Amino acid sequence: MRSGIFRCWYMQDSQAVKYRVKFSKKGALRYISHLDVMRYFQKVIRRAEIPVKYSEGFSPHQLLSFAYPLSLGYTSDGEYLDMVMTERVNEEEALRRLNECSESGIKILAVKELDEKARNCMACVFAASYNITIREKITLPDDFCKKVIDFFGQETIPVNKPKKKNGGSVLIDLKQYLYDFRMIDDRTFYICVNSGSETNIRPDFVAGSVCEYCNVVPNENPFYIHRVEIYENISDNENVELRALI
Amino acid sequence: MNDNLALSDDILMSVEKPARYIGNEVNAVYKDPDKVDIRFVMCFPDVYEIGMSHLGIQILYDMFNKFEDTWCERVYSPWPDLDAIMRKEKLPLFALESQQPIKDFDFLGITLQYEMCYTNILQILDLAGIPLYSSERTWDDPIVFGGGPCSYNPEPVAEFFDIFYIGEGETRYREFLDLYKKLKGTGISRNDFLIEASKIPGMYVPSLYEIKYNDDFTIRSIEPMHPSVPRKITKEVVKDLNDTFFPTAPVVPYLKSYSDRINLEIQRGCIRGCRFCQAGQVYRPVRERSIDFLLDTAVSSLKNTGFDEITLSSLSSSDYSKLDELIEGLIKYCDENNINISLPSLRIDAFSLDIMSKIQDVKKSSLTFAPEAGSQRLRDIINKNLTVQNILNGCEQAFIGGWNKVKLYFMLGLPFENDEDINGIANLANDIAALYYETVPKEKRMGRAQITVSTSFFVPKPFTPFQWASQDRKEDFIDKAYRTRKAISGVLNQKSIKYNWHETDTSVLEGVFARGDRRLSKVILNAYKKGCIFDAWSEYYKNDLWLEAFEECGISMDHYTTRERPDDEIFPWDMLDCGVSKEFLLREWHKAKEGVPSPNCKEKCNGCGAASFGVGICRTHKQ
Repeated sequence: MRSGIFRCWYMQDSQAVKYRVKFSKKGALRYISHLDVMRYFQKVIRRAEIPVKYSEGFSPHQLLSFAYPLSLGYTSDGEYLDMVMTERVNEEEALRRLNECSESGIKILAVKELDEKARNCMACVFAASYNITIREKITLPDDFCKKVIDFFGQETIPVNKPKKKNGGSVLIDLKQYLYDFRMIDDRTFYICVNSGSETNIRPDFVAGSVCEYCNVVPNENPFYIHRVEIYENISDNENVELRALI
Repeated sequence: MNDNLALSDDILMSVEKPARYIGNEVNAVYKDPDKVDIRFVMCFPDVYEIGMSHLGIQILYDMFNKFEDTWCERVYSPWPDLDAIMRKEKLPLFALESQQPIKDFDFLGITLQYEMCYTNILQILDLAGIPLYSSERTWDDPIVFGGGPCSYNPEPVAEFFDIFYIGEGETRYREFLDLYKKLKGTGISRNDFLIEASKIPGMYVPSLYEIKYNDDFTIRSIEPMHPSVPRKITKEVVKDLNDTFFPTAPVVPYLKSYSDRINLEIQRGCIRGCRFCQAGQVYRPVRERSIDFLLDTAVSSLKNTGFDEITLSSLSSSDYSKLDELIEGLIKYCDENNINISLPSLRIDAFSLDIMSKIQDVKKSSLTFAPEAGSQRLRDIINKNLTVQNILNGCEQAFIGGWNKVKLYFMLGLPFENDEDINGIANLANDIAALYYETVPKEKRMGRAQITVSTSFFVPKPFTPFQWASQDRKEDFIDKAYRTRKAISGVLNQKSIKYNWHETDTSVLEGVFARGDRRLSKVILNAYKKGCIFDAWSEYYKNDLWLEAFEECGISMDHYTTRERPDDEIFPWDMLDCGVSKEFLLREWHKAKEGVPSPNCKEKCNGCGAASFGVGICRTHKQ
């Protein structure tokens, strides 16, 4: 999905228009994997008779690009995909038709035409925000909230981040990749962290680090994680300025 | 939408592919349980992705849910990971839609698609909390139905079922449900209800028949135990396939199923009469669906599901009389909408290749032919009606058309097979490879010819001319596979030929159950208790446990497999009538022994008996 085919193809056709779709994933459908969601959308688009553009060749496929895979079991209010259409469509009408053809667990929240030169949504992803809940089955110390606030309030937050390959871990300062934090309730906190392709901070990793700091032992399936939003960085200098993908 | 799931988040997150258990698929049917009289659950006793590929259940699901008073749901075998959790936590098996325990349903319908699913039936009953033996059930349990191809000899699992529906499900369920609504709650005993049910055509209630045995272990008699119970149960047949239930909005799984496409059944039955083939006999007579029906159904089901592929299914699609017209009609719609068409079950001829090249990428696809046997003599014995010349012509056309991959299917262990037949497989593959090099000039070749030879082991099936035949032993199978491999490695073009063969242990067990009788119920239960489950999956198949189970029950597998039956033997399935008479099958068996082929139904009526249904090709012939 990260390949450049999507963009270069689009350049070749002056008629084609690019759209971004925002959707939520909730309820029972949180047990559908990212791969299944991709196949699901191919079918939703067909059922909705949306004029999506197909690739050339003997077995053409729809030109879709998903922003950022959501782990199985997570819910989300901020999922994105880009699609190329063969012609300009009415955004409201497309939204209505997609929703009519989708199960209620996956709800289309917005459809927006993109600028011709816009980068595809996957390339835009810079940060994502989450609500992380420690499940009831896990006993928390009385001062858990305070400790979580302490953790995120540190001058630097040294954590061992597991490497993608060959196991092992690398010491990083989480503070540099943390853009926002607040407590939501006794067991739930909100974070906004970097999700760029190089330093992708996983929410379960952050939650695990919090537990370690608070001396809480996370057993099997300890967190309930909800993705709130995905952001791009629109700053043109070294600062970070976040804006939701739609 | 039903977010109220039977399994907890902890469980769903700990099992492989939780999407198997959450329901909520597009086109799944949801009804208010308070507003229906009948709760039915259809089961395919294998994992979700396999079960969801099955057209039959989709047809019946659509039919039942069109009945306003009935809610039909689905259930599949929990994979071993969830199976272990459900047993440990004592969680009852539930239906996907309502997520409610299936023990509380009125009916559980289980389709029997292959013999190796029999222990999975016990798993379903066991996890549901339904007594395994029909005799132990009360009105508190659902009525357990069986159907599908293996119900043409359901005897090995007869004691686990209350009723088998023999034949095509579209015809008699409404009548049955009305009877149920009328009688249930009137104080009638479950057994008396089953007696009433057995009066509906197609309903076989195994507990109402007494089987007596001879000293040599064969069957002496099959007798109904009640005067009003029919002696023979004749299969049900849909008279007009254009005026019946067929889903235009089948359920679309989230998971990639084994058949991730629309399955359009273009006809039922087969004119060919291959002597090894059960489907070719039990689905007679051939009945075609009309072009209008098929095109309408294709378009609406593609629109309602969003699938990007449609497969035209039948036992032999080349025999559909208006195939070209159908394909032309479909291609138009499918090309406009980026939909692929797939057409399995074509016979080798130029016309088929013309169609194939229109709908497939020649470079990527392979052509599959099933000569079934290596020599003309054996192909005549099995009535395959295919000559070497047919095969070579077909391949030549394919090579000219640009194909270089050919798959060939054969069976080993067919009756009256000898060394020459086995060598014939290697020689035929070699000739086809040689033909490629002769036909396609060097500069036009896409590399080497790729001939794949696959052999499976022949298992004689009920209601076929070979139901009297002896099945090979495991050692014979292994020896024949070895000899096939050796013969292939000895031919000139061996580097262009790849050889695969099917496992032997399961073929033997399949053979036992295919022609087995009621005494096998206890073996199946014994094996299940030892831990046999998902026997169709090689990683779960435990042959040693099966052997132990037979040993402990004092039952010999050889009695069912290797024994050639005398012409007058009473078969365990003789209470059933699939329309094709035993006399006809016996005639065919004798003709096989003489190596004489029979014409197909279009050429000449062989008087098989299916004309008594008065439909399809039998009716056309009369006119």
